[in-house]
Amino acid sequence: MMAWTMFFHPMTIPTWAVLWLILPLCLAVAVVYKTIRVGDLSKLPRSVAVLVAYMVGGLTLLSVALWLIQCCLV
Amino acid sequence: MYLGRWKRGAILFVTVGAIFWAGIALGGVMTVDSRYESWWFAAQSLTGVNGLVGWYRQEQVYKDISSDPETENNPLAHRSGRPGPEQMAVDYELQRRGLALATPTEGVARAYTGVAGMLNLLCIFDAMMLCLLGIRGEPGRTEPEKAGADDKNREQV
Repeated sequence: MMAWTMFFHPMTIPTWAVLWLILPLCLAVAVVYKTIRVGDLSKLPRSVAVLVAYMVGGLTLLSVALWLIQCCLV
Repeated sequence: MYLGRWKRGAILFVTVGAIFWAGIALGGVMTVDSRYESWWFAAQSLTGVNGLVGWYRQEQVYKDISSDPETENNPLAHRSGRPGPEQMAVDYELQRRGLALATPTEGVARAYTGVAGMLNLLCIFDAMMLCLLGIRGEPGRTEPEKAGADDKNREQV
């Protein structure tokens, strides 16, 4: 058995954990987008939080819609 | 940072670097794979130095595999069909060394690193546009400079 080394060997991610890994990605996208767009940097945390909420809400709605379509088709 | 937007530059530098290296931490050294994942590699290389370091590390692994005599003795290296004998042998070696990426880690790691590259492209595009428009510094501080630039333009006209 080889020793596991971080940044060299891949991690084993359980399937249920994949959805939670969307959150840091959404946060990074929101931080970069709002850092470019926002006029006053003191407003950055609030606008990032709003954008993350929009993205997570949109993804949730989309997943519910797709789930309903799948339920109708099967 | 050249545009005098130090705070924004630092935030973008840290965020893009963090999301790229989080992807590498999840997927390991083969997350950046210039040989067999060229589209992902194109996106990952947009992270600049981060992508370059990732490319160098995976290239070292490929060199190590090609110089390993066990790769030559691998029966998969002499089979025919898709995806080709060389890739089969490399995949086998990566699997043997515990470096091969498998679902769902593969998708998550490549998405993190690829998205980091695309976000960096967005930053580059924004910085270029600001440069072309002659806008420097934070928005509040640019007004006198902008006024000065407008006066010069009027004089030229």
